[in-house]
Amino acid sequence: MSIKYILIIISLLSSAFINAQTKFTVSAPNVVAVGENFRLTYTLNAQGSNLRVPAFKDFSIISGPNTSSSSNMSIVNGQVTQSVTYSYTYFIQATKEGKYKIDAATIATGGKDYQSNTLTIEVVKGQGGQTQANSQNNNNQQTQSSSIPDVDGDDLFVRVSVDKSTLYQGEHLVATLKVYTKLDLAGFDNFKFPSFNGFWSQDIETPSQISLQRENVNGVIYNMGVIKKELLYPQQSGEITIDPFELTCIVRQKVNNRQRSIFDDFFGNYQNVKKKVVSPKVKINVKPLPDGKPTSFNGAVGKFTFQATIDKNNVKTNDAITLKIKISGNGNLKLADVPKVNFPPDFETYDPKVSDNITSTAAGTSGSKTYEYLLIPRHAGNFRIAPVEFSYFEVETKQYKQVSSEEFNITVEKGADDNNGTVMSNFSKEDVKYIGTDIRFIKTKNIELKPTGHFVLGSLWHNSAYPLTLALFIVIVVIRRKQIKENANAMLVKNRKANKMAKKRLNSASKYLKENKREQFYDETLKAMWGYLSDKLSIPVSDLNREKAFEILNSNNIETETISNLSNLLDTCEYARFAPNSDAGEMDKIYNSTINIIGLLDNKIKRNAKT
Amino acid sequence: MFLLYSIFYLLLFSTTFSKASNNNALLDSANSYYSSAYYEKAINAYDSIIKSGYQSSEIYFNLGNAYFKSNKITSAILNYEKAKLLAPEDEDIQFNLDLANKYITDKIEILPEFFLTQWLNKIISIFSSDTWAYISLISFITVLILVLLFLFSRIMFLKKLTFGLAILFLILSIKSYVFASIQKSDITDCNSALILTPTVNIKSSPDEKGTDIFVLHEGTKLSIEDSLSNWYNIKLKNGNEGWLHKDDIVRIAL
Repeated sequence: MSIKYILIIISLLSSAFINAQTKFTVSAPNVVAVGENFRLTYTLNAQGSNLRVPAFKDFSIISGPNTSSSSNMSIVNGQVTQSVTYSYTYFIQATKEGKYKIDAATIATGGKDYQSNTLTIEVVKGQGGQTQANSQNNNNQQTQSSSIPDVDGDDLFVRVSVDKSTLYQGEHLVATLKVYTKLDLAGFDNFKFPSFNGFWSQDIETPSQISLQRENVNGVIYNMGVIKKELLYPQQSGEITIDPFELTCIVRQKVNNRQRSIFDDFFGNYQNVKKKVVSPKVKINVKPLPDGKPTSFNGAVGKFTFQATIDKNNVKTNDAITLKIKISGNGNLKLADVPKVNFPPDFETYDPKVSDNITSTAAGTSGSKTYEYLLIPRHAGNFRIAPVEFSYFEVETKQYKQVSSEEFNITVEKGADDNNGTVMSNFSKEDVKYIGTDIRFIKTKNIELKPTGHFVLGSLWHNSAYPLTLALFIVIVVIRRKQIKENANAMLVKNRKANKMAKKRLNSASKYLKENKREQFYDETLKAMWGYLSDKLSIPVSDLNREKAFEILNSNNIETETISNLSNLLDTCEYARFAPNSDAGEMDKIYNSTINIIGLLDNKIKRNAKT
Repeated sequence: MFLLYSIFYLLLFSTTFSKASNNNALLDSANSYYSSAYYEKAINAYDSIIKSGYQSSEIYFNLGNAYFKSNKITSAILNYEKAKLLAPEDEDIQFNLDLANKYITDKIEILPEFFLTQWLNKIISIFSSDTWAYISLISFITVLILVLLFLFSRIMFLKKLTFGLAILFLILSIKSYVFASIQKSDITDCNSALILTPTVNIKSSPDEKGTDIFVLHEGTKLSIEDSLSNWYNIKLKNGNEGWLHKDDIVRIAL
């Protein structure tokens, strides 16, 4: 069993190997109309046998297979190469609209079977007037019944077709300038290509020879030729209009002459007619790149890889260092700005040398772009180049991607020429370099939100605070005033009471005063005074003397002034008792001051007793 | 009845409270949007705080920053000016405003003010209107206390001292009341405006057919002196006057 499998694998491999030389292909127009005859051709570059074609369902075979062969021999520098082509042609007619797949056919050559490729044929509704559709591949020739050479707009037009009409700014689109015709074209003239304003455009290589292919436009078959292909990168967001494309076509038309000669029909009578065609405008909707751009974003859209390298980490002063940044990938590489590198400000830096290796295809521009920075450290020390950041917008994921290189640490030692010391004769001071300006950052702390239009001034509480405090003030003043007055009244009452008491004690003394009996008056005054002190200070009469009384008065916090007044009064009374001459005014004065002192003492002692 | 009232007040306060906390959350998200460079979203968030009826100089300052970062210089200047109205002496606001003003086209020489006016303006702008109002009230109360001391003190020295101080505080109270009202009127009756359209021809009369006197560009600050139907009589800081249409400017009003 296993041997059988091995054999099969070997035979498959060998067939694959031979296939590289032997080619078996099928070709047919992409689009045909119902009822139209067309050719389906199998070609083999060797002699084959036993052709097995698939059943052409939905097609009817008109004739075939018609076999033809051609051989080709070429001698180049004495080397002979020979090639043979065998072709099997079927004339087929489509019967129904739709898309049909032609399965692979097989053929045997050199003892092996080869399979052809498969085909898809689109069948569209046939034209009403197309009865004599004797069309050849890639060349449609139509007979005109009218004798006036006129070109219908439906028969010949140009279009600018784009592969996407909505895209992001910086994303690429392919615009193809196409000409569609049902007529026989002899050539083109006066190309006027659109200016592609708002785009950065790049040509895509197309064959210089314009070959026509069949294409189905709204159910009608046209021959389509690609004039030009452009790769476009929108430079601004919004709706951008692609200007019309203008082209003058030279159309070969058959002219029906009145006098028909036999040669006319044979050779045909053709005339070249110039026809100018203009394409409709195409509107492209360009979306701006979404928010949240990284700070290092510089407009790159696509898919990139990024690499930053440095050639040496250890240098001496004034030695050059090269920093290489390489961006490669697919996208608008040519438009991407230089990635920003934060070099130590002490380094001498030069503008980068930019080299690129970029090719443009229908899939976009791809390749690589290299920036080379030359750095010269002028001072010794340890320096750090922060990681170089590069970010781009990836269209597929609609996200910003950020890549960053490693951090570079550079050690700079003192070079030999620094040690000479001859150059460093004068020290120059440098100003502080301000590298950039930016607005100050937002405030995030202690934000107090207040209702709009709210002010303390003029608010109800602020306005009423003034009169209220003033009223409070007045109330306090009035109350305090009244209190003082009342206090004063209380004092008065107390004084009056004390005076009454003193007057009572001095009752007999006042009698003697009125009778002007001097000796008895003083006697009685002294008696009353001592009596009062004895009563008030609770000293027994036997112990009563001046020292004892004053001591107690002192301990009762009576002012020394009052005490000395009392002492003086006592002295005066004792002295006056025996003094021969003293008038009534003197007695009056003593009487009054005795009342005063007694009243005063009474008040003081009472208050002390209270506290 | 009392219960009903208390429930009503509770509801009232709880709604205002929830509004404030909601705004704080908005503020935090706006600040984080700004930090991660989503300026459009930050602008929307700050705007919705202001629209909810709350404001502070910081909000206007941050909004101005967000506009500046998204390259809308005129809106940035407008918001910095608003922030400056609320906090006249803030250094950061002045710095960013000066920086933003470098991006506008018109360069206008400012006429020098009389030095006393300049000093007075400086003094007035030390505090906000609210602070001046508080100072006025507090010094008024101090005056009353001092007068009480004066009236009821028996010591001569204290009487003299309190009398002198009372007069000083009375002057302070009156002055700060005046300052507060000046600041308030600066905010409420602000007659400053910014040019909104990219280029404006300033006319000699309030009429489309009036002679063009000079041309101003977006972002230039001016003061409105008078208005007549749809026209404003404006005055620049260098003393030039003229008329322009109402739609060409935006008032700096909170």
